[in-house]
Formats: sequence, structure tokens, C-alpha cells
Amino acid sequence: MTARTTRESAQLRERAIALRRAGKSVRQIKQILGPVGNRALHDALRGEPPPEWTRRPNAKDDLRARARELRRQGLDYDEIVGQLGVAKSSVSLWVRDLPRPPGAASDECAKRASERMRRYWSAERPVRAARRAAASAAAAENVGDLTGREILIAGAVAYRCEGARNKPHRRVDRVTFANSDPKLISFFLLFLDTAGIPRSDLAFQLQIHETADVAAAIRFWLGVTAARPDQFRKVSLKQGNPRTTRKNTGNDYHGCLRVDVMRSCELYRKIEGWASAVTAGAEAPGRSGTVAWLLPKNCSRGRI
Amino acid sequence: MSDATLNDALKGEPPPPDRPGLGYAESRARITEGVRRYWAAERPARETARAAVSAAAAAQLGELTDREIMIAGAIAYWCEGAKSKPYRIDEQVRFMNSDPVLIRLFLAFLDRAGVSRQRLRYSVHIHESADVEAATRYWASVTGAASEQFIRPVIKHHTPRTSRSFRNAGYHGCLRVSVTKSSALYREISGWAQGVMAAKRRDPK
Repeated sequence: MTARTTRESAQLRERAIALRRAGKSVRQIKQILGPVGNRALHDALRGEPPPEWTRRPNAKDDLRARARELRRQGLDYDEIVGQLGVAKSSVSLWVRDLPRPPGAASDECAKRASERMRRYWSAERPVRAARRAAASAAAAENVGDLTGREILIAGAVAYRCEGARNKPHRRVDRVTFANSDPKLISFFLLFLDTAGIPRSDLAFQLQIHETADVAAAIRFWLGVTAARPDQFRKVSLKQGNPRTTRKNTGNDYHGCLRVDVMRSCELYRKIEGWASAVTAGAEAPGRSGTVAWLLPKNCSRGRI
Repeated sequence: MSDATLNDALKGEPPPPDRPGLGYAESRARITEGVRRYWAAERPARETARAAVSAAAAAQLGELTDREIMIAGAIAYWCEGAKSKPYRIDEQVRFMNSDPVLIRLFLAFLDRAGVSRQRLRYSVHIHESADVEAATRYWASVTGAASEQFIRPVIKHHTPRTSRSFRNAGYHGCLRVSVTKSSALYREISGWAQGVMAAKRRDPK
């Protein structure tokens, strides 16, 4: 069978709707029109209400009408269920085509909820930040001053982490340490003092993005290191990507500082020895368990 | 007359006939051989001397007290561990490194801090071109951990024309050690590290 053309479909629709309005059922229309499929006929009749006499009664027609009435008055599904004692899914089936009552708009609820959330956190965030900072500060206080030996241990470990190291493919025994954290740089300088390196044996290099304030960064690191300006080598500039996603681009960005120690192969070898001795010493069988002196006295260890 | 002027003037001239004794090629070969023989003997001697300096420094430290272990671990964490940032508050203890010495130090530090090994999760981060199973076995032997404590490895994309010099057999990728339920520990570690970095040297008695 060939499909109907648009014109034939329009003719079919015209005749079918005329019969429908004359009060015929679908079955009667099919008998009158001759061979036509269910699908084509239902397409043709779409949007045309059936005549009243073809309606059959349903078990809850009265409840359905009352539910629609209540919905028009602005009740939500749960309130309708409460009044009529029918299933919520039935209520949904009966009233879902009616417009949503204005009071129950979900975007309004969401807006109010997010506003409450914002208010809660704008008060709570600083409180928690302060508690976190207090926990760290209490732990920091417990450390106190360090012996020379402790400084050597910590400095050697820091060097193992952040310093330049010998590789099988690049044999250089030279002490070079680079970092962006001014506190770590200060501590490394204390370590060098403790290891007996005169400050005059140090050379510094600023490594920074060309988009940053280079002069301010040099002033910053001169302040951190208390070095002479002539100990600073030529600045190493990194190219800036204008579409960068880096977060450290604000006024707090000072680049990295590289510290080179002159004539340092002896020190380099000592640092290697200290660092591996720290791991060996830490792994040596000893008392295991919580270390009492390090636990903060006046802060909670639990959730913050 | 300078060498350079002489060089210019004699450009294109055939080399002079060999003088009596050794020829040019012969003396070059003997020099090369002499240098090779010298370094074959000298290189191991110098390596030994270098290693002796490291060993003497190591022997100088000896055993570590609990306090020293905590100081070392906190500083190592501050250098290599995950840190909470103002734009990303995240206080889980996570330590990642390719250096087995630092990984072992950190594990010993956690032992002393009273963290049970059961709370640790390991994950290998490695390039797709490397042998993931072999790397996992390697890190299992470094940490002494059971295989079920290793969570899914993170595989990095391999660039065929890479200039990385880590492509050889000694490449095991990085190991990440995460501690579950660790925000309180994180705050302590960060406090200890701040304390160490801000510390002054106690006057030697």
C-alpha cells in the first residue's frame, strides 16, 4: 500500500472530523470511510474530543472531579491525598495537566534554600577556619626551638624533597634549592648557617612569570633572605599564558627563589648521607604509637 | 705571530712530514689510552671517596628520637604532600613521590604518629608506556602493603617524543599514599611543619 499524500491526508481528516462532530464513534467512522488504518484515523482525529455518548463511567469519576477542583484552588498533591484518601499517583494522573499553583513553585523554594545556605556558611566558614588555624597553631607551638642536630635533619629532608639531585644521566654534586614558599627558604638558610656555610657563599636567582611584578618580587626575596642585591643573579623569566588557570597570580605571587651554594660538593654529599640516615633511623624498631609531646594540649582532635 | 694568524696562512697546505719518533695519529691514540687508563682507576676511587663523605655524615646521625622523626616527617610532608589552599580547602593527608626513601620516611613517620597502616591507601601514578604491574609489585615491596590496599592506578599519557630521561628500567612511576579520616592529622602536620620552619636554633649548651 502506498502512503497517503498530504492532500489525501487533509481530505481524510476533513471527512473524519465531520463524522466525529456528527456524533459517530471511531468504529462507525471506519465503516463509513472504508479501508483506513487505526493509526491514520487516530492521526486524523487528533485534538477532536469524542462525543459524550461514547464515554463510559469510571470507578472514581467523582473523586477525580473533586481532585481537579481542589488542585484549581491551589492545593498540593499531599493535601489532596489527605482530603480524598486516594493514591498520590492517581492524583498526579488526574491533575498533572492543570497549571502549577503559584505558591509551590520549586525555583522559589530552591532560591530560599540557597539563601539560607549562604547565610549559614557566611557565618560558619570563618568560625571553622579559625578552629582549623587554632589546631595548627597549637601543634606549631609544641615544636619550640630546634637543636642544631634537628635543624640538620629537617634541612636534609627538605633538600631531598626540593633540592637539585644527582641523576644517573647527570652527575652534578652541587647544592641548589628552589622554592616558592618563603618560610621554607628561610628555614633552608638556617640549615645552611647550621651546616657552617657563610652567607657570602650563596647566590640567588628569582624565577618568575614575565607578567608578574618582578621588581616587587626581588624586594620581597631580598627581605626574606637579607642578602645583598649583588648576590641576586639575572632573573629567569617564564612566559606568561594569558589564558592561564594558575591560581597563584595575585599580589601574593612572588615566583620561586633558587639558592645556589658555591663550592658545595662536600655539603651535597653530606646532605645525601643525612637524608638517607633519617629514613634508616626512622625505620629502626622503636616505640610505636602516638607521640605524647606533639599532641596539642588545648584543641580538639575531632571534627572541626 | 699568533696561532690564529699562522693557521690562516697555512690553510690548505699539506701537513708536515712526520718527525722521527711517534707520528701524530700514534701520539693521539697513546694520549687517549693514557686518559682512559687513568680514569678507569680514578673513577671508582673518587666514587668511594664521595660515598665515604655521605656515609660519615650518615653515621654522625645514628638513631633518631621520636621528636626528630616527627620533625623530619612534617617537613617532608610540607615539601611533597597535598596542601589545603585558600581556593580549595582540602585537609586530607596525601603524600606522593617517586623517591622510595621519602615514601619510607613518611610511612615511618605515620607509624610514630599512631596512624594504623590499615588507614592507608596506595595508588601508583605511571605512564601508560611503562609496566604497571611491575611498578605495583615494586611499590608493594617498598611499602610492605597488601595488594588490596592499592587502589586503581592513575595512568598518564605517553608522548612518544618525550625528552624525559626516566624512561629506563629504573622507572617505577610515583606512589601516592592517602590516609583516610585524616583532617585532624593534616592540621597537626601542617602545624608541626610551620613550627619547624619558624623555629630558631636553640643555643648549644
